[in-house]
Amino acid sequence: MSAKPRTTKAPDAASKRVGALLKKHGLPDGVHGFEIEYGEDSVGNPATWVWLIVDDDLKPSKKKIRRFVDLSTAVTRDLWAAFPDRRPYVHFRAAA
Amino acid sequence: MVLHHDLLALARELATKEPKRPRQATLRRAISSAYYALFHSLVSEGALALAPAKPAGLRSRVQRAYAHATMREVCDRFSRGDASGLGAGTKELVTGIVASDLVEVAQSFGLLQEARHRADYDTARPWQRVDVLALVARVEETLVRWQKIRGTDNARVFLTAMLLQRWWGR
Repeated sequence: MSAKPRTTKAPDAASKRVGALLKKHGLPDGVHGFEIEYGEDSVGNPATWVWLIVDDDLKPSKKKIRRFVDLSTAVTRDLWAAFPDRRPYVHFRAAA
Repeated sequence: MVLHHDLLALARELATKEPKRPRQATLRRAISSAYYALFHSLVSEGALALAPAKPAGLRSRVQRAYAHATMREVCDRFSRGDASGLGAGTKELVTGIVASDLVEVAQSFGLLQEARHRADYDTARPWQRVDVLALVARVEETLVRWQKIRGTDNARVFLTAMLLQRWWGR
């Protein structure tokens, strides 16, 4: 199954929402920003991918991962509430 | 030993293997194992809620009847956080507010299923350890949240809807 290619051009509303949420929660240590992608998920639903940009850490502490998961959970919850017809997928990647 | 516990332990073991240069195969298997830990936990709970212990094999057969796609559809509806998006048949059974822990379980299932699909089929984008560890930790946390609400009526409706949603809207 091949998915439609994603575009980095995201609706302003989603980007603004994520930005506002991160500002509200504060970026935890190790998270430096975010990128958003837009497309369809594996079952063809409209989807938003939020990539939280982090340090390239091959041995992150459990505490650090816990902070990341808390942020991911909060962003996911908020995006579901704000855009219920667009599935949010929050992930982490190291800065290039 | 309980299968989903072992799958989650395996996910963590794979996610932390190869300390200096994690291989894509290892990271991708970790994601798959984490997803199946959550999947088997939920289908096991479903069979427990829906089927008696005897005759032997009945609960296993009920577990086998759960379909990934239907579970995903139901989880996507519960992920919206309120009963308004739930399918016919399910909406009438949900009472009160859908607990935030149940919503989070549903949201995690969608996230992990999508991740598993990409891990298994999308070779274009490499996975990174920090992301995989976050997914494993997310499943660990989700199973803890499930324990808090597993005895509630809405949790039972959720488990049953994941099996029967396609049919009980008639």
